[in-house]
Amino acid sequence: MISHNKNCLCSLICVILICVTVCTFISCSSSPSMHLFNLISSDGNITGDDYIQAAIETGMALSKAVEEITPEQEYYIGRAVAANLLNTYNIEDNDLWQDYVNKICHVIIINSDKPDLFNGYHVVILDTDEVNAFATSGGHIMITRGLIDCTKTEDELAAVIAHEIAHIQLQHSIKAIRTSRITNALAVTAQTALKFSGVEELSDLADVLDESVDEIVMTLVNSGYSQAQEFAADSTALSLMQKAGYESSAMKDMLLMLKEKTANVNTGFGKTHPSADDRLEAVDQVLKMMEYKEPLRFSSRYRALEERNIRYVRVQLQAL
Amino acid sequence: MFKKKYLLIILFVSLICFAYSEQIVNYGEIYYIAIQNAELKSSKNFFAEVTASLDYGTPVTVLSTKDKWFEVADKSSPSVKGWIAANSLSKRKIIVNKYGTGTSATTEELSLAGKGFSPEVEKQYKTENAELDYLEVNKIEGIKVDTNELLRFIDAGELKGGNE
Repeated sequence: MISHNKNCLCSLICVILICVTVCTFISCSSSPSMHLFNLISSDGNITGDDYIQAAIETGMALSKAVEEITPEQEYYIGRAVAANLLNTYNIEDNDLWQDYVNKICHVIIINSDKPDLFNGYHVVILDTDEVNAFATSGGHIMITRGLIDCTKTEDELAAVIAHEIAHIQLQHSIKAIRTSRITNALAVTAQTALKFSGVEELSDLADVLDESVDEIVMTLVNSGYSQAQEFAADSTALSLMQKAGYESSAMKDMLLMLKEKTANVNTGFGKTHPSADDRLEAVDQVLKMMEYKEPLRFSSRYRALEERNIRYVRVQLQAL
Repeated sequence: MFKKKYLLIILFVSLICFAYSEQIVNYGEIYYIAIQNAELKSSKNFFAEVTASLDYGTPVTVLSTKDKWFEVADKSSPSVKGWIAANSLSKRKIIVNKYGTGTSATTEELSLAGKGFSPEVEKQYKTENAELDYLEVNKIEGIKVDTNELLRFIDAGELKGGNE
């Protein structure tokens, strides 16, 4: 009996040791929150060459190397992407709406795991009836007037903004840099970063920036993110909305309106996003898991929702 | 009966370890500020009083952690401390590029400095792409949200994140 208990105790200790070891390993490896946390480097003295070699040897896709650029680099890439987009679109001059969308953005980000970027998040409305939205790694969120007009409530507008914030926090635009030649160039330019002395080297770095930005803009405007990335952004947006106190179900209402307005449209959202039907189906599944215990209609949340609806209409009327 | 107990113990311990695995942080470790003009707060709340403002790349020492917030102190001036969102810090060393001022950075530090983009590279990129309007980009980045107005916005809409 005593030896049986002793065996149990030894087995238990072994199990605990194994679990702690495995979980410590898990905590150091890549997971979505760790990417947002800017990867823990096990050896701070890895050289650029060692890094690239290690990346190839461990089978990491070279695109993964791009995710490890610094917040400052993400910012400059984001600025360049924004400048390119503003070649095509103008910013709407409407302080009331601009103030409103930025406040909604701030409520969402301060309740998220990543409330700050290198230079923060900023939202502008683009002066076009096209239904579209863009978000850069520099925190620039651009939503068209056409898309704003697809929303009827503050919570639906929050769904649109939360989706773009999700793309930023999931680093989707940086991951759009897929060409291995460019990701390789991004990695090796590190060695020349502080050594250059002339215009030629500066020009080389500017070329790498140029090519990185081209690939991102192509994705934003033409091909769109992958279906998996869009669904990830929708799913993350639902969580962001709930954390901020918005009704996640408003995402569904927004998608239904989007479905109506972008049917048979091959530009903007229609071109770069999965169909509204596909997104609705995926969002529905997530919403089922997020269901509140009491129905909205009979809860104190309903009163809050009504307040926000009134606020939305007030902005619409005052901005006319 | 014995096998069932064994399985339950494994599951229980695994769950506990997994729940805490992402929070394993060594207090006293050095992290680096990963955003410009980082504001340290007196408590884990966006609207808490600002205790200090630190530059991008400043090394800080971790004092404690809670709910994805870190309490940190400026490594070079430990009396300067406060709370900051975990994702505003980097474990990987950040070297601030100071072109033209000369640097004694080692090759290893160069690789850690990032991938070479900077205000100087942007300037060169603008020269090669004269049609791009960076003034508009700067205007976007100049948009500010007043903290008191944001708090009123949150309260009026019965949203979360205010002084709770």
